[in-house]
Amino acid sequence: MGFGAEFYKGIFKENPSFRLVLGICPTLAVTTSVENAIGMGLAATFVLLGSNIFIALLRNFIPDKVRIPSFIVIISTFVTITDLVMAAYAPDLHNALGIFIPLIVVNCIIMGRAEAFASKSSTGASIADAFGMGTGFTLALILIGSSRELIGNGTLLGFPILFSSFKPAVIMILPPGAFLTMGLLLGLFNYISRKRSS
Amino acid sequence: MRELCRLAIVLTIICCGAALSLAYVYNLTKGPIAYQQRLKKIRAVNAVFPQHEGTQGVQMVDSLYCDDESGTASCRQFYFIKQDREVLGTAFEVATSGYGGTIEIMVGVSGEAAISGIKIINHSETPGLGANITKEQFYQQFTVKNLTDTKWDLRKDGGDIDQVSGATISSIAVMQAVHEGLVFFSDHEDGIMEKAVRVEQPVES
Amino acid sequence: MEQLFIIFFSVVVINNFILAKFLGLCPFFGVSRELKSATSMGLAVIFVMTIASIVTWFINRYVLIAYQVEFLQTIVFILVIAALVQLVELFIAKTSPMLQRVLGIYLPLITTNCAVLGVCLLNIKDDYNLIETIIHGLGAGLGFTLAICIMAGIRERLSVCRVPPSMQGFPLSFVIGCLMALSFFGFQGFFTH
Repeated sequence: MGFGAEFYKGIFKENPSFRLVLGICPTLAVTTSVENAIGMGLAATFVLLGSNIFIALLRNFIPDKVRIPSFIVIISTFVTITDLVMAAYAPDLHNALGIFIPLIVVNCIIMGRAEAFASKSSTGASIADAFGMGTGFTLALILIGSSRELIGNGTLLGFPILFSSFKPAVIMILPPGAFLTMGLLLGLFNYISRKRSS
Repeated sequence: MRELCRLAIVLTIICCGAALSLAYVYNLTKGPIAYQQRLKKIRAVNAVFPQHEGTQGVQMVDSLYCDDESGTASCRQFYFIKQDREVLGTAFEVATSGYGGTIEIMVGVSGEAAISGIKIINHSETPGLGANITKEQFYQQFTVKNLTDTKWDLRKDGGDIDQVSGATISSIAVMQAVHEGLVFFSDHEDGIMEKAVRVEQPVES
Repeated sequence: MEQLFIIFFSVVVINNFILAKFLGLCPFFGVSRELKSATSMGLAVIFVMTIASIVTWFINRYVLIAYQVEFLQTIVFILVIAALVQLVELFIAKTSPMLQRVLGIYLPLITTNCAVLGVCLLNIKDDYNLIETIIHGLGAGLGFTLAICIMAGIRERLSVCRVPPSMQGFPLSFVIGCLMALSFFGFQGFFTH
């Protein structure tokens, strides 16, 4: 597969959130606004990129038996770097994402890609894969975040979008709204892919 | 045995690499993180004294005030707005536990021990409900409230404070924290003011 | 005592890890097809969460803070949890074949369960002392078990219902999650200061 194919598969066909249903915790927790969604998406993409590159480079050096602990160490190093850099240069976002930044460590997407892809592929392919998966994840977060922010708060990226007589349905930015949005969007994605394949 | 050694060596190398690179990044970001935290406080102090913003000759100083008399030595950070030698206002931080975690509030007090403004610095209340304590229509009402003329209770309990709808606990938490801070300030006003006159070193911003 | 009760009750129902804090969703949706496996998963989580809370509390206090390397928190905690899970697994395999049968395959899954790392990080963030930490860890595990068991009960019933094909599986589970979160929302405001 070429660079493009590795990249595009992460966006729809193997979208981590909607097709593989991985890493749901941050997907639901931080999507109360589009801004948080973008921040989380970028942070996860950075970690994914860093860990994929290092794991692909070291794949012949790391013995199979200590594979998992090595991956955990590499991933959590990148997570901590992200955590520190965000605290230093984007303190508000760091505050809004809270413990979900360190929790990127246990995001199944990153461990999943390390195990299923980067440990078996060349560095170039791993970079493409990380970009594709990261973009797919970020887009999914933005989609959920914008639905929730629009209906729950009447705004997008903080700007009022809907007409002023619109009364926001606060439930959408509360926890139940997260489950509902995710469930309906998953149903929609299933519907689209069923239509496509038939 | 050789296999075992190899595993141990590889894992050790990876861990050392990780620790070294983290130590390096930590040292790089340590300064900026401390700076951001300080900046946040300073911005909050500025926000609770809107009337002094940009006025010529006004400077901010800060000092620790320790309540040694009670023997517990609880120290609080105070920020003073000064013009020449006159203290125009005092700001201090109060913290309380709200619904989802700690709420930190900066309270500004100017002459006659009346509040000149409050600002929520940190909170983890529920978005859409408790998080509305950061909205202007809630925190604005604390301006000009004081200890003597204000009844520190929610409107529905016969007091003077309007709550955020759907967030009674968060509203009460903020109200009580501000009130408690105000009581501390008025109890120790002499000591705090004495500090205020003495400190000269302006806060860098 | 009152404080401990509030921490416990709050983490079990009001701020339920799954339904209000979104921690541990992967097993919540992945291992909730049958009540039996959901209960085993829940027990394993209670067990690991309580032990991990205690161990990470000591490590944070006597290693990370003592040597001023708090920035290594994430990396140390996750490694400790992973090692801990392995140890517990070995211990159970040696001592109790019965427990091994019940928890067996669920233990390794717990390493990548964000609820376990989450509870350890929250203990530190909220500055709990040792007893509060234990109560918080135990309560978080119980809350997790409560939610996953209810979910499994509902899904068992739903398996005999006709569901639109696009909504089968995950989508429907999320909608059930929404209704559960909504009903747990009723506990909000249980305590006033």
